[in-house]
Amino acid sequence: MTEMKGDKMQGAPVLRDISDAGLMASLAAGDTAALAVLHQRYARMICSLTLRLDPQGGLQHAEDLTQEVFLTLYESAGRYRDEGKLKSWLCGITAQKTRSARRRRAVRSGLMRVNRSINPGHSSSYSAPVDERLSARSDVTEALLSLSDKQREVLVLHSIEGLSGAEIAEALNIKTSAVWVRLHRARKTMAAALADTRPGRAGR
Amino acid sequence: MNCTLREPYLDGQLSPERAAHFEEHLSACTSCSVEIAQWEDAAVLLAEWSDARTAPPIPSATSQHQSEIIVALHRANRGQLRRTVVSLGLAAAASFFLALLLFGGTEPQRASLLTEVIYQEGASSELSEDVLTVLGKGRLIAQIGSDRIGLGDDASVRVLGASEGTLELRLERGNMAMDAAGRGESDELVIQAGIYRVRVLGTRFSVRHPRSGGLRVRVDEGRVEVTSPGQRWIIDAGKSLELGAEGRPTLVQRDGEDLEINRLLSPMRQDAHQPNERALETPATKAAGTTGAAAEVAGLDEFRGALKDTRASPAEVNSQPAAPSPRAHPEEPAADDTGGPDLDFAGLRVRLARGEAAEVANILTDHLKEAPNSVIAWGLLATAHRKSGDYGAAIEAHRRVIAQGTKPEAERARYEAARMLQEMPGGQPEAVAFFEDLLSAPGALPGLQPEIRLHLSRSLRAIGRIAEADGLLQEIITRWPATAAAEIAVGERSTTTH
Repeated sequence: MTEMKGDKMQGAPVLRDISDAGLMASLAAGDTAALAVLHQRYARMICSLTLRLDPQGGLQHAEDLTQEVFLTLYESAGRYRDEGKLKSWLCGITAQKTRSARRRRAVRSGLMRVNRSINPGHSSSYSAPVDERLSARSDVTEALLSLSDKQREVLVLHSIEGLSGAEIAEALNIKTSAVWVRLHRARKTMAAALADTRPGRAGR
Repeated sequence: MNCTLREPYLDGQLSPERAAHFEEHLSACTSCSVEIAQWEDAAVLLAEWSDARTAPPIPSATSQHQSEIIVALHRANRGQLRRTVVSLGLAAAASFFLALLLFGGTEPQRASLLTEVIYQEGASSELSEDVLTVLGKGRLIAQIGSDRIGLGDDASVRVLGASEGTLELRLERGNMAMDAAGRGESDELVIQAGIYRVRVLGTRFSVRHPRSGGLRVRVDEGRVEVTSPGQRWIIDAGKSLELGAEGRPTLVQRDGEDLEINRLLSPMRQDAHQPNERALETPATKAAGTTGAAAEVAGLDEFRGALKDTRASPAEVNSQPAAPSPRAHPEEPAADDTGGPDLDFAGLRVRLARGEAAEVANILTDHLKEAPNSVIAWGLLATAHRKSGDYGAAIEAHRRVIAQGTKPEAERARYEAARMLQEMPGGQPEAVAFFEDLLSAPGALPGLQPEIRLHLSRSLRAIGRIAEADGLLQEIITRWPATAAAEIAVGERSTTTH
């Protein structure tokens, strides 16, 4: 999936048409112009994925994580093997970074404010995005937060990003059967949570 | 046959036979059919939710800029630098730099390095794709990849080859100091000077190559190897090697700190250490209105020709009478003379980019107890808190920058603080106030004008000032057509008005 197809990539008119694997090979060989092209191709997807995997994080946080993901991509370009899709690989890195960022934040907010709940089921004070577009679906946010990180990763990658079971297994380095089990539980929990909240939502 | 086959079935992953079997199960299993129906409803909500949580489009210029930052971060990090400053920071908007692309040879797979002149003092310099020259008395500090190079009076350096991890320079004349990031085994940093080759095995050193020939190398940190045809010397930290044009080499132990290396690499004004060093006022610098001050590199081309005539003779370094010292570049971030202990801000930036926000915040908090007026530390602390998700503390740190920083620093801090306030409950009114401050200040954050309006419009909308929000979006569409911001603005205009 290529974002911003119509956009002109300044200074790299040829690179734009090269495959992901070709760009990764150029990058591994030291051609950093390939990095800008890959960024243009995937940064928006990664940034959006972060917003979905970490419903408490804001856009700035997502942009920071996106930069970390691309730093990792740059540093591991030499180790990249063209076996699966680059997108799955990037999704895996993003999921891993998002998870550890959430953990760091939970530890920190637990240390800094003992009385603030670190139960992710309750949105903490800094988190609730006030942007109308984001807060409109707070039921969904709450439902997603009631999942474990692992379940949420599988659900988001499958049902939003459209990755297949096999691609998710590769991205998260787990067995395909584990993907189905997590997805099954995640869907069940989500369906139940959203069915509960919809008729007469009690609010927060 | 059981319910857990449901997901591969829905995903179309079952073979036809197994799918047929599962459909049999489905018709008999009430919990499966209920859950599938429930999931279909939930999936619709999830799709709407994910549409709303889509990041805005990323302009190609941003991708370009981000990729440069990432490469610089990587270089800096790999080198485990000690004093080298990463001047391409995370929020590089305020930093002033001149980017020259240096090409290594003519191979088709050319690698490029970003060379950035980060500080300049005194007369002037000549800069081209591969030559850095100080004309007359003065000083120039440039960053080449992860290495920092300082050039003294009349010094000239040519970049012979530059690609990732490898840098080859030729010191044509004069005195240079280098603060090189530690290098891996496959990396090479070589400086040629006449018949000598200086190969860097460590970090801080200076090389002097007088016009009469010969060489002097002083090493502050790490090790350096010097070779000439048939000879080889290893110089350790604290030692100097002096070689005459034809005379015998002398290797001497140095005592104390090396003022020359400090002088060439210090991005601060020199009056504290070197009272005799100051800018030479040439007719050209006077004409350019930069008398006695650090010259802006960007303006150099205009009077480069004039300067060629003013090139000073190879005068001795300290022979000039004392005079007022030149002022450091006002936006030079490393000039943190707040009296507190030294702190490696560049290293902290790298650690921040690698996700060590909590540790960095602790270091900065300790530092600020000693040096509560360090605007750089407050700014970095704000970033660290933001990355840890502690927006409240980040905003407090930004307030210190707003109160104590220069105008550009304070403006940047207002913008960052407002972005976070937008995401905090009850933060919108103050976010609106900050954004409006920025819009009413002439010349504030020129590169972020559409973004400020876009964010302000979102905050205004959130507190019900819909008409004003739409007005701002309309302004974006009119003033910056065909940009990513305009595209977003079109999408965000409310459908009820217009």
